[in-house]
Amino acid sequence: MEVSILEYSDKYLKALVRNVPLPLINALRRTIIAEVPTMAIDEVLFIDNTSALYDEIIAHRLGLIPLKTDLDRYKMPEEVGCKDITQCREVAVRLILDVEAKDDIRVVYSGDLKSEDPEITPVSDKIPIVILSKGQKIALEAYARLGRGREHIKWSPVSVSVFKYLPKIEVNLELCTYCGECVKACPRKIFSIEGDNIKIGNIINCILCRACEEACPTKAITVSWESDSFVFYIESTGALPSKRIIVEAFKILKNKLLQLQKKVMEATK
Amino acid sequence: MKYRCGRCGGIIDSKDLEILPGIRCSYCGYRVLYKVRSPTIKRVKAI
Repeated sequence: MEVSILEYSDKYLKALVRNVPLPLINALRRTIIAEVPTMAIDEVLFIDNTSALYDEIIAHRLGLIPLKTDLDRYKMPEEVGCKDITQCREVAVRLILDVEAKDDIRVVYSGDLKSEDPEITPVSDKIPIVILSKGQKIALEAYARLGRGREHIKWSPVSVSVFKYLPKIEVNLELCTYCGECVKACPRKIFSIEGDNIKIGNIINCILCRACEEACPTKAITVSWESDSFVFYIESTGALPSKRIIVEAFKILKNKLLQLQKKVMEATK
Repeated sequence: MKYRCGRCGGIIDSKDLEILPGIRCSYCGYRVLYKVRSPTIKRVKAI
């Protein structure tokens, strides 16, 4: 397997992965979406809510706010046998929202949530939750805990986890007339003609739409893909850095495979 | 269960509503009543 990182930051990661079977990279993609744990609000205790929205709608919106996650300090409720997360300090974090629109209409934002743990806070302070008109108020306690995307998508650490085949474009120079039709047709501007030469730019940008193939009057272009090379892309919700998401996904995948190996060994003894 | 009158703001118990015919504020007779939120804490799953 050969891996080269194309783009990287805490929020996203794009890599070119060569010589890897499709099921393996798909297993990684699915593990990232459904198995890597993150923090999200799971229980909400409403003390007061005179806003126009039902408690359930506000609770749902709170659940979907991505929270910065510390995987090293918190445990999954099942690991410690916690039945009620409002009672387990090692499992859950309490966030308090107490807002009143005294003088004018007011938008309640994620930044109004006051967390008891300064490291577990909303990824962004500017996520709107509800609009309060003058005199309305909302007071609640929200409890966030670790969970996995397979249970509810709010616990998924990524907004995007995808891969595509690495495109392969072949131009038959004996048939090519350098007419420039492919340059006009390509939506990703991959082709360029310089004199008597056709140049193919960054192949990773190709979306395999085959517009160039259709536009070519002499059928000199063939678009295909490499069956064991992929462009892999993840975009974090901000709950975890992209690097940590990949590391955790590999750890989980490895543990699952080891468990499978153990079961097979036990069964075939 | 308690209701608040839309005009005078008086709090009316549901039992008081049964005394007079129809739904009316027992203080001012206004016919628009709002349900008052229960003082207990309501627990909701964020799903």
